[in-house]
Amino acid sequence: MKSQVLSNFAWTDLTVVAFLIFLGLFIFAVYWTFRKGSKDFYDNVGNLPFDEGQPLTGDKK
Amino acid sequence: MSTETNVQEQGYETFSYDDRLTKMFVIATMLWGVIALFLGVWIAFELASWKLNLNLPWFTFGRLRPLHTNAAIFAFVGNAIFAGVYYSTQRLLKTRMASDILGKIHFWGWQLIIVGAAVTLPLGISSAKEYAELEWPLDILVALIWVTFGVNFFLTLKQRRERHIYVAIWFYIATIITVAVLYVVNNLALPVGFMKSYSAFAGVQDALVQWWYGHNAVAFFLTTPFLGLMYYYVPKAINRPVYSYRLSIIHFWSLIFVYIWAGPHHLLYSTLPEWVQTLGMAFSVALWAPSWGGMINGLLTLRGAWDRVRKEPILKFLATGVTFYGMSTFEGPLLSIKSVNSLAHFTDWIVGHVHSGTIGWNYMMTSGMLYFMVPKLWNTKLYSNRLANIQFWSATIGLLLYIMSMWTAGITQGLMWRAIDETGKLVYPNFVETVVKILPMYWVRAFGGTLVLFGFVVLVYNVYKTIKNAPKEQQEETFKALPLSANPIDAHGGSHRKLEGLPLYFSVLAFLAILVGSVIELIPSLVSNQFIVKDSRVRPYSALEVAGRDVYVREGCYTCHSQLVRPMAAEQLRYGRVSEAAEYVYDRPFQWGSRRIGPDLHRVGKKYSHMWHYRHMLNPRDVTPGSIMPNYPWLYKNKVKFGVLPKKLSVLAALGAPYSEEEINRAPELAKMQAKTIMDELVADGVPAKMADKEIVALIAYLQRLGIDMAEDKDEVASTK
Ligand code: HEC
Repeated sequence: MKSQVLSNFAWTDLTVVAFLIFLGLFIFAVYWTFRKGSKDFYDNVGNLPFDEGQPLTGDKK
Repeated sequence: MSTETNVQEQGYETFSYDDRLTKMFVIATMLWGVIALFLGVWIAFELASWKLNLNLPWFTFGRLRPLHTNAAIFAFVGNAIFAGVYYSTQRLLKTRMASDILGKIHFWGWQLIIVGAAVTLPLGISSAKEYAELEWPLDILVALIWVTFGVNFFLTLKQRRERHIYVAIWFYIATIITVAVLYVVNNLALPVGFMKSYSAFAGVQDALVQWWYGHNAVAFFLTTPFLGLMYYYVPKAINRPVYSYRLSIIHFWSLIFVYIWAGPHHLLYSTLPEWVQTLGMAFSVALWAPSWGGMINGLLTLRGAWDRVRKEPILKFLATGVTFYGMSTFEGPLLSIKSVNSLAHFTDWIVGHVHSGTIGWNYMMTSGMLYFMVPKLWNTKLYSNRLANIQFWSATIGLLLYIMSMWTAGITQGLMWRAIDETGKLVYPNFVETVVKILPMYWVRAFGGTLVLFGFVVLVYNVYKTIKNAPKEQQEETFKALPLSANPIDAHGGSHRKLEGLPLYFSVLAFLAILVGSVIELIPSLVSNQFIVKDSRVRPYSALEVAGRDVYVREGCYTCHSQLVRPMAAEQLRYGRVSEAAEYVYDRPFQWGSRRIGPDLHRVGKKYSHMWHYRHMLNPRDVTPGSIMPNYPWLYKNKVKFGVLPKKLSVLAALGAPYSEEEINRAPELAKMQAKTIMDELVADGVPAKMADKEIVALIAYLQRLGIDMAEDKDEVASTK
């Protein structure tokens, strides 16, 4: 009996479908981030942790 | 971002950061950190020496392990996440959190949940789903508080003064959304009373949902928020931007997309449909790539500054944390490969793996983050670098002892379980032999854990001294920045801005990314209810067995016992027939477990006499010398609550168990009748008749029922003795 129907319910194709979706997403992400003219943009954004606004009071370092 | 000079002064807005809230979470992290680690050490010693269970219900391993895991994940790591997120989010967005009140509700609500967990779990109030043991009232509270956090976070995003959203914030957004989805779905249940419920899912489906949750709790509670924190604190600490911002974006999308699929790797060789297992395994192996992309990005940020890493405690902790992240994300995919998994699953190898993640990654990152934040928050210097170094070495050595002892124990025991001699018999038929063999490793592990705990106590002392030496007058620093409206989208890179600068748009995309995996993986299996041939031989549990099962759930027996015989020769020899999906259809919650500290119990029904169980539960060493299972004397005093059985059965019936009206209404009476038949046998063996209404009888009824429904003929059951 071993839940035959369940094991026949083999959606192995789903693995392939899932992989293709992922591949698409990955290629798009790579294409997107390496688009022309994005370098300056990313350099700027990458520096955001160092910009906390200008201190007015407290210890001025 | 150098617009300051040429813009008129009045264009600026002034603001301050809500650091009080961060400080509160910092303190809570340290408090719960000590408690969570102490609990871990305590239960580690319980395994090395069973006497430490103290013969008291509230201190037994089965009840304290859920408290340890929940405390470590939600109390220690949870508070650390919130501290780190509140500190960095405000600064990255150049704004105060939208609402101080929501922040306070979040803080106190979260602490209330933790206290609730600390009270209910030792009392045995547990839904027995791993890392989600809290019962429904606390679950609802968790959901509400999480939403409070989310609302405050998104409102803050809305009022930000920085148009660009740094990648750390992305990771926080993915965390907030996904944890909400996971937590709510996995905890769906129908209450029986104020502190008891039955899972909305049963058997195989419950297992799938649970591990979709369980695995993604690791992914979206222990990993994504910490990656966000890594992308903030590592650059801050070394004072240079992340190695490759582009890589961080690819890292983000690949990771959240792939992670959500990987849950079924906890269920390899189970009765889960084959295609779901394959899917889980494939995506787990794929996960290696984005994880290492992230690790490399983190480590390369430190490139050329290793001399500083060697000297500065903050960097030392962060670098070690990222390294262990790399190690455990290498080990994880490895353990997901079916052949490796067949050996490692249910052994201590998995326990070691989890701790190289939680201690190596979360504990180390948290420590580094605390050493970074505390002096800044309290406007002072760290009290002692030396103490921080002592913690570092103590924790690192402790962790290595932990991991290595668990590798040894896991592989040793795994090999012993499967060893078959030329004649086709088990080499170690006696399970307890394989336990006794690894006991020395349990001592090493407990000692390693103690070192990790000791290190954390040193951190707490160090931070305490730091705060004590801080200037008494602490005033909030004020900052100025331009509002968003003064910072229009500039020409170049316009479309980047659109995606990466619009939180709502972005959140929807992230949500879709996790939804794809969840839906494809879960939905077919959940609707496949109609596909499982309900085997007519499998009957729902009797009223007394339901009572017994609830004792099993309450005592957390699943922390030591599995209920899943895998399709392997050695398992069939040791336990009996391979488990089948149809056998679990009335199991709410499923109790497959994840670690065999004791043997599998799915085929224990009718294996022993009632008297054997009676003596075993009172003192396992009485029948199995060398056993490390706790004594359960209170089961011989507590009475079965027969009165609630009709209610319990009717809730189970509402969930689909085919009980008749009569079975429900007469449940107490029928249960007593079944207890009587068990007692007849026990009395013959000298047990006093007054035990008939005690919990032990219900538990025996349940244990004797396990896995017998589909036995081809009842003789087969008897012959496995
Ligand atoms: C600390 C881990 C631990 C906990 C918690 C625990 N057990 Fe055990 N159990 C063991 C070990 C180890 C053995 C093997 C040695 C023995 O027979 O006692 C075992 C054996 C058993 C056996 C005998 C199985 C067989 O096939 O021989 C049964 C039945 C059992 N346990 C039931 C329970 C129940 C019910 C609970 C919860 C109330 C429980 N155990 C909790 C560790 C544990």
